[in-house]
Amino acid sequence: MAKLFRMPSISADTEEVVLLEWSVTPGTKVEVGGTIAIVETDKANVDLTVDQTSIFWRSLVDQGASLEVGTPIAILLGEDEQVTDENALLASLGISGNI
Amino acid sequence: MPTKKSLESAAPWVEIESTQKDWDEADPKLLKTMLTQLHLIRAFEEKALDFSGQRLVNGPLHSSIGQEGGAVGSIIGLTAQDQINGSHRGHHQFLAKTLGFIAPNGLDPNKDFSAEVVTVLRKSLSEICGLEDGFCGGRGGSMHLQWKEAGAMGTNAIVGGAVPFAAGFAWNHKHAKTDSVAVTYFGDGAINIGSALETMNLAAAWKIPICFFIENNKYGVSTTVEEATGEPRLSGRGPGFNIASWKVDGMDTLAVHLAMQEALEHMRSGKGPTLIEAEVYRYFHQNGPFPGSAFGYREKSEEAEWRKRDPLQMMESHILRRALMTKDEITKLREKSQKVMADVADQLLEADPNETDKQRFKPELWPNPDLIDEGIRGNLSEFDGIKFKEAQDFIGNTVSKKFVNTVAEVMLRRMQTDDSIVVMGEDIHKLNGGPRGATKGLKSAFPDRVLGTPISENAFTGLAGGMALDGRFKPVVELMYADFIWVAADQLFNQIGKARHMFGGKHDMSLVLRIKIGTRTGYGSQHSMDPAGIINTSPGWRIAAPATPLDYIGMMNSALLCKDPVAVLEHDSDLYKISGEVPENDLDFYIPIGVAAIKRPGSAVTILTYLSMVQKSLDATEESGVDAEVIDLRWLDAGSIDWDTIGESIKKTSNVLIVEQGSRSTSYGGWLADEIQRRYFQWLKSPVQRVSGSISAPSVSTVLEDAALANTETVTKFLKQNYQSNKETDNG
Repeated sequence: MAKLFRMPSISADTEEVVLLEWSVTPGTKVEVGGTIAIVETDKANVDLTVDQTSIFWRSLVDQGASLEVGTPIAILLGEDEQVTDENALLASLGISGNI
Repeated sequence: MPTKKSLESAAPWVEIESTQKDWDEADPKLLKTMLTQLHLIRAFEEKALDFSGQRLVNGPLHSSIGQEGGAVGSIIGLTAQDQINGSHRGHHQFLAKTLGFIAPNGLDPNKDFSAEVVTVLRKSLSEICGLEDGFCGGRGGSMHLQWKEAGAMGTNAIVGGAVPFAAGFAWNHKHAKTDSVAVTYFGDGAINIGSALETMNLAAAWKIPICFFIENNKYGVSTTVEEATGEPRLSGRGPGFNIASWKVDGMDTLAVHLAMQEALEHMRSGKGPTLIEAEVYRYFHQNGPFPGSAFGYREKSEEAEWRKRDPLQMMESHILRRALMTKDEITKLREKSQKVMADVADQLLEADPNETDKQRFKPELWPNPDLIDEGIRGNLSEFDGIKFKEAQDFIGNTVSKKFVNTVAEVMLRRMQTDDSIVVMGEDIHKLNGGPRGATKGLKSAFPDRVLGTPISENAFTGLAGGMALDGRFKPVVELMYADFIWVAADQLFNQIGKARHMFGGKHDMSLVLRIKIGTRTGYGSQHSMDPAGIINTSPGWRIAAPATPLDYIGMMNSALLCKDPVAVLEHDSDLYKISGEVPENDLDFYIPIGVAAIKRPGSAVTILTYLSMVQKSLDATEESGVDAEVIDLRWLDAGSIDWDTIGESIKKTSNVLIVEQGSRSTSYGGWLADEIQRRYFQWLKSPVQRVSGSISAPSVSTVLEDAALANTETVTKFLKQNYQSNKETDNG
């Protein structure tokens, strides 16, 4: 099932996180524990990993963006999930506008 | 050439390792219970970290993942009566102790978790999340977990701050003639802080059954042990204090258990404190769900090496080798542990209606913010049914007595009628009643309840705090000079003053701190403060300031009955030497907490004062001819002060003068003036005025000391300048 991937809290003192780079391109299958992005705070460089095998469907933010903890940054699909209606999927996740 | 000989520590210092034989001989039930606890704690911590990553947990979450073996191995052999406390990283110890409490006969990994286990997990996670169902009503959070009945006496956010309290638990165990022990958990970061080291010294001096359990996880946040100390073999701290010490691999749960069994035998047989250093590794950063390597202070390869020595895997390998469980059973235990935590989480969470794929706590689970200030102090119900007495009740039946003798006599009397009272302080047991005679006769009457302490204010005030939290004994601590509140500040203010409220407001903190004020003794800037203003900033404390020997008796009796920490201010040079009328045959009466005394009725101005400035204000009133109403506040803290008496007086006089002896900088009057102008502004004809000492602390030089302190002349002059004309105007 499609779901939003939100910017996690890196440590208690983190408010903003910079998305350094996407490690995968849209459509890539990512195994459990696999990295989808590298992010940076003023204290840490962190690999963002997935906790279940997923399809990286698309990113919601650009590389270099400075983001608040909790911001949706990507949409992940289930391992065998197909998207038939993109707009309906985006709407169901509460995402509007062109991405 | 001088000759030399090698010296050796008197205490044993050993490293202990488990052998294959130990693993082969270990009770299957013990190993299976250990494995079950390890898995429950691991799954609990994973869920907590998941919450932290989602920012559901407010503030830091210090995960114990990787360190479970030290906690489980050391706690599984404890009884319900044994007590523990810990640091900011304390979930694993708290869970091991509480799981051991509800399941003293062990946990069967193949059975479903009992309702009690689920409840402990839910109440623990709720507390970490700040929810009302938590063990402390959501006030404690991740770093202040307490379940007293289970012997989990509270984790702590001040590095090393919990250690002295554990000595208090241990002292109580010993004095109650039990063989129970206290175990205080702290990390490599805390091994270098004064409160931990002071407590090691005190525990060894008094031979009390406390285990100093160091979880050496190699890093204080990002600073390595080798950077922080010249002796990174941390178990080596013990022998310097003559404490038997063990080093053990903390990833090896059984080895930790074996070390703890030896330490328990040592402590339970009356041989005094022990120290265990368990080498462990936190897989993650100091807080939050990402590894330390992400923060650049250690390598991923180091983390991978330690993960190979995972305490769960080590336990599983031996259980499989001995065929105590099957691989499938272990897999099911892991799944079951994750499932129970998922179920617990589901009980707390709901979909956030405002954002897709985001969760929030069910709103009804939050504590009621309206009750934020409940339980800072007790409700004084311990005084229900008490018949109070005042000076006027004894007219005609009094004798004259020196103040300082009264101090000693009322304490002797209370120690005779209340076996729980224990008195401690520096030199109080010698010199014929301590440095000033305030404890005269106590040591000979009660040798094991009058304790001369080493000069280590954090350790002994904290030890007293632990005694009070445990509650079996009531400590009376003498602080030789008021300025030493700064030396003992963490224990007095962060620990004792906050303990009741922070852990949920439900348990008492019955403790008396006798503080000697050293103004006008020539002891100078560091021994001459009036601490009332500072103590009043710590709302858990009550403050008693008796100005006469008779008041001292009744107020000390109330302080000793009270279930809150009470600071009793005593004035060495001004009050100890004076004599006053006291009841001829009554050392047992109580003066009510929260009731001031009108010492002189008047109409021109209300003088609010305390301690030796009461008499000086009375004298100044006579000398100035100003018709002042002089009120001895007696109980100074914000929770006890007598607004009724103060308010009535202000409505009569419309003027207020606050009179204090000591330095204006640390003074109490600033707070009082602020409260008065907001409460009684409409009744005031003039600004609230203050007489106090200088900005600076008093100096040693006689003339400078005089100039630094308010006295009768200062008050007289101020009254004449400010209130004489009022009287004339009123009359004219």
